[in-house]
Amino acid sequence: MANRDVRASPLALFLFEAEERIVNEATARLRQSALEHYRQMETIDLRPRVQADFDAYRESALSGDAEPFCSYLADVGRKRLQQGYRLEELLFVLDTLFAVVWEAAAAAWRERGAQAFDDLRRLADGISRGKGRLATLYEEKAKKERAALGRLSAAFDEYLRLRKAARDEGQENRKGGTT
Amino acid sequence: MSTYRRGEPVTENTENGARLFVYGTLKDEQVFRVVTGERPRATAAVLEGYGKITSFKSFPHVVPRAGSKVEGMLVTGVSPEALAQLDQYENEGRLYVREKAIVRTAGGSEEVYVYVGGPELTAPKAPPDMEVADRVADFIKRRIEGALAAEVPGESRLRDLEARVRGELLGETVDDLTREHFERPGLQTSAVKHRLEGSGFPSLEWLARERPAVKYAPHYLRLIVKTIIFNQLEERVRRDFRGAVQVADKYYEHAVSALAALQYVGDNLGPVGEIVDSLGVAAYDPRLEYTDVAVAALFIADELYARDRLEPYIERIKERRARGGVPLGYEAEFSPLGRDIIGAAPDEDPTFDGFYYFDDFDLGGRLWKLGGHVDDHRFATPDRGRVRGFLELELGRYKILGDLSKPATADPVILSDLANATVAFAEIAPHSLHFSLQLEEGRPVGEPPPPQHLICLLILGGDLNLDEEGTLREKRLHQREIYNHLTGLDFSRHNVHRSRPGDDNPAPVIEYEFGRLFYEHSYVDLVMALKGFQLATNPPPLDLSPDSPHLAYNRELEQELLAWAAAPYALARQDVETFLAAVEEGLAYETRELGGHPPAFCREWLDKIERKLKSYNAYIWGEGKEWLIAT
Repeated sequence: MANRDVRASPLALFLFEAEERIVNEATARLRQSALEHYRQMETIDLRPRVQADFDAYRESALSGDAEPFCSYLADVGRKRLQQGYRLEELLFVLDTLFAVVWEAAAAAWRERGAQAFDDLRRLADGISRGKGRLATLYEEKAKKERAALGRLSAAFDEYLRLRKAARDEGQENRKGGTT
Repeated sequence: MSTYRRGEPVTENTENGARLFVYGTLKDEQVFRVVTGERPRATAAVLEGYGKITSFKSFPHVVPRAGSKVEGMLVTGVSPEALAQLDQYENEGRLYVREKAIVRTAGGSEEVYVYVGGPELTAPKAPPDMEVADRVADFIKRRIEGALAAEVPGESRLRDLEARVRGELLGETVDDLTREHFERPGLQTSAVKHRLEGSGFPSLEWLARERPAVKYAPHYLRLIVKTIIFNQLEERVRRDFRGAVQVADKYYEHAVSALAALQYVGDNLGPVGEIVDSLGVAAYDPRLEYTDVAVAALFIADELYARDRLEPYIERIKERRARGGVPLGYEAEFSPLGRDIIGAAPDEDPTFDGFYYFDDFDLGGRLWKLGGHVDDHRFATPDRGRVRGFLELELGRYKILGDLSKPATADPVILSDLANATVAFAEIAPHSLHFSLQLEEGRPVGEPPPPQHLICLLILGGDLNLDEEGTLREKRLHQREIYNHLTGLDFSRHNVHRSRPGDDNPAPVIEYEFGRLFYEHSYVDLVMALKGFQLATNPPPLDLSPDSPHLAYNRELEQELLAWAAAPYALARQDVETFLAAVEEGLAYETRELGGHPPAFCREWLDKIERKLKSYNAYIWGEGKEWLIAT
């Protein structure tokens, strides 16, 4: 369902109105978390990232299609995993953003009942595919790394063995020379 | 015509040395001298029965071709040693084959040697051509590394590996020797060996005697491994993407390749960290030596590098390129303790102890390509010993002692990307950022700027943020981070790029020292503003020394800036407009006179600068909430 008219989608309209509050709140929660990569980040550094997450989320909300956000998640996930971020950290960022959106929506739509949450729920269901993609990325990465690590460990062990043999031989030769 | 075979007496065609016909790069006396160490005695000659193949795609060479002729020079009196060096330079047997031939000179016909196209050059997929300077540098480097490898005893697999490790650990000396070889052709192999031996190899044995240093070893060793990986990848990028990363001689030759390598290593720090942990090379183990750590780093670099993995990085650099007309440099400062690193007590920094053991771990020798050193805000001397201070990475400053440097680039996008890639690579809290702009020689220095223009620069590149009490401050000035207690504010200063020892004509630069270094931040707007601002009127630096010609005015300027930093106020519309007009004028001058950016690029960044200044004002007026968090 493509729906680019913000006024026609209560969810999209809400995401425009509440944007600043949501992004600020999600940024603050991430900074207060115990996550290794987020707890020491300055707001000035962290907020643009949260904003980018939110923009991609809103893009999906506008079109009613979870795919743009899922695809964004895969791109960011690939970059972050290469930088050493753990899967739990990325999932926590998503869960934080979603929690803030739901809380803000609950506060804004208190009078309007469960009907208003349908779009939000549908989007959340679609986005679970994106989380699955992230998990697959991590799995593939772990597999490749295990293989690389195996090769490297074997090569390094072999080097240490050769080096030890060379030194032992050198010591023997020196002994031989002095007797 | 007969093909020369290795082992034949090389002086057979004359008692006074060999005769050689040259037609390509060796016709250049400087190149001939660099390769052989001998000054050529040359006369004009013609090689008949051969044709010259010149293509942009591969090295020029000659091949037998009936009815053709090649004009060149006959060099006489070539010693056996020189001929051996020439064989190495020409990659004899592969790229070229040295054959006997007959040339015609004014004195008649003579039998000579000539390098003709060898199996690799005449193959359908010949290796791509190189700039002469690169080819000579490659030759010199191979020669120096050959001298290193010859010194390594033992089993062949181990010997190859240890030779590579030696090349890496003496990388800075190899680079120096290559550079010197160009400047002083004829550097003898014995002198090269002497220099290499004199450099010495780093060791970890000292750690057994310095127990307090052991707890910091994992951080240092991890940085060593990471840096060796970077060095190795940078070298391969330079080899595999030569055309894409090549820069003009006046710029630092490693700058663009370093950017690709830094970005790639930065994007792979997670896996690298896990591998380093698994191999156990970052945990102090008295049985492991420095060379073992380096070998592990080489293995990881080999595993990480693949041409196709680096290709997207090179493509991205090419796509983003925005070459301007002003040579630029940067200096990034890192500190786990922020500004408190200066004067920190022992153990106050639990990671590197304020980089106190920087020299012991020979980090200067590893970080040489990135201009790595420790700055304790005192004058650096060779014998200053251990100090605590900032880790500084200053790409382009290739000799710390002796202060030799070149600008990194003329591209503000590459400069900004370099600053970001350096932060990602370092994994140490970023602190400050200095930018330098090379000035036009002989251009008269203008009048000092009004304070509002410097405030505009601080808004673009300083650190405007809330303090612990929630009050807005410009922290770089307010916290006296760039304040010298003897003179005052260190906002900007004149300096020079000296590219070789005894350089009588160093390039003048102005350095702006107020920048804050952030994670993942664009500095292009700041650099564009600095360029425009500087080029418009060429203002002097904020000089507060007693002999400054503008001392009284500069004192007022300093007080105004400090007052603003303590309580930032909104800028008057007129001040913003005069600043923007100056930047626009300067950028237009750059486009017109210095081969700068296209006007559309300048317009784009002028608009961004204007938006940033206006959103700052809106924040101060309480009309916009985005300033602090969206900049």
